[in-house]
Amino acid sequence: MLNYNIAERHLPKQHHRLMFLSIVVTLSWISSFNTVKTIYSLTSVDTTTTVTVSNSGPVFSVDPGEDSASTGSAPTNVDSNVTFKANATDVNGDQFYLAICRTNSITANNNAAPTCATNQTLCVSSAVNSAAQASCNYRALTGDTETVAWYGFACDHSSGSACTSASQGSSDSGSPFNVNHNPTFTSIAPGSAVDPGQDMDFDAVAQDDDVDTVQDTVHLIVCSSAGASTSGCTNPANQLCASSNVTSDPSCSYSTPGVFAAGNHNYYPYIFDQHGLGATTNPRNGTYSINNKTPSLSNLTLNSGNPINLTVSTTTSVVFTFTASDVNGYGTISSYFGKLYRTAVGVGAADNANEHYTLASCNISNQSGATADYSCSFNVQYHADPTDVANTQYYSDTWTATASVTDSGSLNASSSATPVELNSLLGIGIDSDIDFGNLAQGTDTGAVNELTQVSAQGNTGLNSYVQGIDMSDGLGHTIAKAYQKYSDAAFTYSSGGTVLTGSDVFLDLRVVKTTTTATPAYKSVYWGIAIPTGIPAGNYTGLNTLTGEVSSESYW
Amino acid sequence: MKKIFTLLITVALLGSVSLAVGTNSIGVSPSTVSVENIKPGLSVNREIVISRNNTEQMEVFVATTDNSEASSWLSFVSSNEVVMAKDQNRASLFVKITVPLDASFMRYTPTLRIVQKKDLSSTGVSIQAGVIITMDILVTDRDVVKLEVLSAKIDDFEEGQDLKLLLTMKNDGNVATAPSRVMLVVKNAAGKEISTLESKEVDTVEPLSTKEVTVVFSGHNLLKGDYLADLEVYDTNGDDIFSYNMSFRVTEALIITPDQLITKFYKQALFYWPLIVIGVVLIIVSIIKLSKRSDKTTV
Repeated sequence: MLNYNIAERHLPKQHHRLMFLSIVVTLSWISSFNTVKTIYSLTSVDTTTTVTVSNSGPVFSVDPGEDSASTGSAPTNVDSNVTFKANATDVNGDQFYLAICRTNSITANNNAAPTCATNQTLCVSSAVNSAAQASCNYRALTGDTETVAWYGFACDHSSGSACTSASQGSSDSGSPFNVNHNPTFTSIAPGSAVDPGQDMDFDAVAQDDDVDTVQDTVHLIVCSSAGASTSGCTNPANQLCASSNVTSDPSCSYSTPGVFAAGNHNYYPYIFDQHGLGATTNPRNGTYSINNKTPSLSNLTLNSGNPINLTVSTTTSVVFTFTASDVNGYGTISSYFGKLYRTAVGVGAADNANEHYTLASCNISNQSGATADYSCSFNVQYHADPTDVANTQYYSDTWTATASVTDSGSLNASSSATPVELNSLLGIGIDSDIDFGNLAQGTDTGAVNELTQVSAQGNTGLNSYVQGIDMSDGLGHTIAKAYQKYSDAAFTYSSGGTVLTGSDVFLDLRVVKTTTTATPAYKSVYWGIAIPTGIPAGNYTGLNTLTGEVSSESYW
Repeated sequence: MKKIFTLLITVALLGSVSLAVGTNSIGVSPSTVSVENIKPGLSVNREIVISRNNTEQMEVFVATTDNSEASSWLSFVSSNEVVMAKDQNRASLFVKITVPLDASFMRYTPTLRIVQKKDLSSTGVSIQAGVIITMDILVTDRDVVKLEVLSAKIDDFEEGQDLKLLLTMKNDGNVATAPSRVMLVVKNAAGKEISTLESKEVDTVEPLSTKEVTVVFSGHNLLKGDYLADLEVYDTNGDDIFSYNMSFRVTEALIITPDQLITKFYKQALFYWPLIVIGVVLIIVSIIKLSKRSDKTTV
């Protein structure tokens, strides 16, 4: 025994006292150990002793968890991955695996990845260094239940691999994870055919069986071409309609365009649940129908609403304009025709240049949407029946034009312009000048007359007035007009004819109204002349005037 | 023989072939100009279309009045001669009818005579054609209201703009008048009624004249699209004098791009004046500061 008086004065500080005490104890222990050792060596024989230091398993430094957290409100869609992550340290510095199992059972495998119980593996990471983050993914399956419990293990990669005990993480990222299953899209049916501009309904039979947290809802998206996500059609312009979220059987209504082609139109419906997961049957497809509608006519105008003035001896272009509309699109108008006619004759009458015309063709412009403008012209003959004044055959009548259009569905529309008057055209035609030939002084034409044909080149009957001037040789010599005679019938100069004067004298020709274009009605004026004596020979010329006047309608 | 030959008078063209010039035609439409219900003191213009068949050369047509009682009422708006150029087969003659204040209330029928002006040529006896037009004028002291709509039209317009209905109206009466009401029932392309527009503000049409008036409908709120419309025009008695099916198109309003807007803004004087003022202020402030600095340096 070491007996030592520890005087306060020698070791005034506490730690000095402790140091001293430790030295004393140590020396005592060494002394006793050596003594025991000596005794032991004197009483035993030599043997070999071995010790195996066993491997230590890794330890989670960060518990396993889902990244991101798969929860009831934010589940993992079928066919999407649940990612698990964890950090672990291994005192031996070994790499480790992260294993996620459906059950609390793991088998460490030396120098290999661990294994969960049979068919219970969710995922096993590759080996990562101690303290590093290991991760693995599990692809959610249709067959998974809505909630899947999991157990995480860290197992080292060593010859004596060991695993941690199970960890289920904590909070939202901990076990279990949640699986969102595809909604079921059984069928869809469009409404019956509608008119352009009306609503087309799409009614789907669809549901979602997931009830975790809340009953999942579904919504319907209908596109005009394939391609959509939960938020809508890939091309927003193709979206026909979208429903709200409902627990089952969503429907939506498509407001069809005001101008829309008739017939069947493709549609591609999609069902998505509230988590954005689509039905496996997306998209279904089908057709909906738009009715063919009857076209319509408007803005029908004949000759701008003005009376028609014809042109002597020929045709006059009479303009007829209208607008054709079809809510199935102007392009569906496949044919058209136009008729111009005296109203009393009717649109259905046969063509006749006096009263009824059929359109040859029109210029079509401003084709857009539902409408197209038609500008057409009728070539109306000069003898078309007038309707303007009392002294005409059809004074109480008018002229109108009717247009008719037919669409590709054989529906047609027909309408007429506001009637207008067709003015009387007083037209007189004279076929030739007068050639009396060579005559001697003191002679006359006798019974031989020169003829002038006076024809009705308008749409009235006509009479005429006659006057003339003296003939002259240009050298101051004249043959007085009174030497000329005329008549509406052949005459002998000496006994017949009317003496030509310098003012209008009525000649009751009564040329009837022309009714056939190629053969205008006409009457002949017969001329004769006498050559006075005492005038020099020469070339005498003159100028007579035939003035037409509308004859009484009874003579037409 | 020589004597006989000398006495022969040739009254035809030396070449008689040239006599055959084909039918020479002249026409006028209308053949009767009717002016009903004109009051003394009023005047009216009427158009007569002269036409011809031979357009190979320029030709002049001369109009003259007769010597009847009312012939002095007739005058020609520009000239009594109508020149028709080569290749032209129609031209208009405008006649003004002015009824004197002392005219009796009865029917007058003066005539116009229009003749093609044909020169004496080397022909034997040329024949020129003419026509006589009756002017049928009924002078009355009674007020006659006779309004007619000849045509109606709505031009396409941009979204947000006024709807303008163009009416061509003819007043064949002898007092100025206007429709009492114009109603437009607007429908969509499918024929579904959208709105009814109505206006009682329609310009007056003077007696015996034709006028195009514009009826403006504001605040219709029609969006881009094709429209149909049923037009009804009512006279002063409230009678429907014109019914018409119309269509028109409202087009998309032109959008001004930001660049255009900026350019437009820059073009405004309002943009420059503030800049000039700010610039002047900055210059003054700079001068003051500089002068203060130089003062400090001096000290």
